Amino acid sequence: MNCDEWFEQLYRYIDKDLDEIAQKHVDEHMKSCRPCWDRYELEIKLKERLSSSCCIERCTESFRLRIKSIIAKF
Amino acid sequence: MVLLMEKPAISKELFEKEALPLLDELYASALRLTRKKEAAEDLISEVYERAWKSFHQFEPGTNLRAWLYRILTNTFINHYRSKQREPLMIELDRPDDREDGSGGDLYDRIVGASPNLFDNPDAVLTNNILDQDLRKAIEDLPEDFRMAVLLSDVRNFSYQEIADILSIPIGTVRSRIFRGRRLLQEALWKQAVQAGIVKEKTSKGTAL
Repeated sequence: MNCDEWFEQLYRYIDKDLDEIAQKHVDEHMKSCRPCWDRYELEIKLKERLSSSCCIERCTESFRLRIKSIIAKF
Repeated sequence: MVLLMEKPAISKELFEKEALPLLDELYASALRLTRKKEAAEDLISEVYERAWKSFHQFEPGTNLRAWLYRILTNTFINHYRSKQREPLMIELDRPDDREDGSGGDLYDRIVGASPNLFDNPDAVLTNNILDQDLRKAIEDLPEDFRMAVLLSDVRNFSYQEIADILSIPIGTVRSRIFRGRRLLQEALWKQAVQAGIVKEKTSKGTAL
């Protein structure tokens, strides 16, 4: 597997969308290729940051009451 | 003649117990979709109303969270997305993208940046990109890509779950996530350049 082939599989690898054999090929390539390993690390880091950037927001208490009253109404 | 029966109280209790804890994350997701607090609140109100009204169709034991996201994205698509149709095909991944240094993903751009400020390519993410930059980059994506990236990267749904939520083939999920992430990384890079964190190399490879 060369770097371009590896890159094409990268997101499916990260998102666990590959079968076991394909996953192993991706694994093997990046263990012996520093730039691809760094690229993988960056993608993982970005994914984590995207997720955490959206988990601190809370709705207001008054809005929570509004939703409760919607459920209570029906 | 079919009589409309009042839903038993136990069902309402169950709905509250299962669906209310998801309110904050659904609200935050609605914020990414609508970009505005009032619109997000209206969208979520509609989602809970529709979810409660069709709760009898929900199969216990299946994924309530995915079911609510399906209602959320459906409601958003039907009522809130911009009237103007956004082009689905965005020019990306030119064949020469990775060779001429003018495109590429965030990694290529960081490694090619001048001056090379970073010991590790991911240091730019740790040190220079704020949560609000990331949220803005998501919100700036065209809607179809935004929904796919949101469901995958922020909410950690699998490709199959996203395909079910958005009622699209799994191949479309893959391509929207791939393109969505490329667009998002491009936007983050532009923000970093504008903020003066990094300078882009010119096409000849000399520092600007």
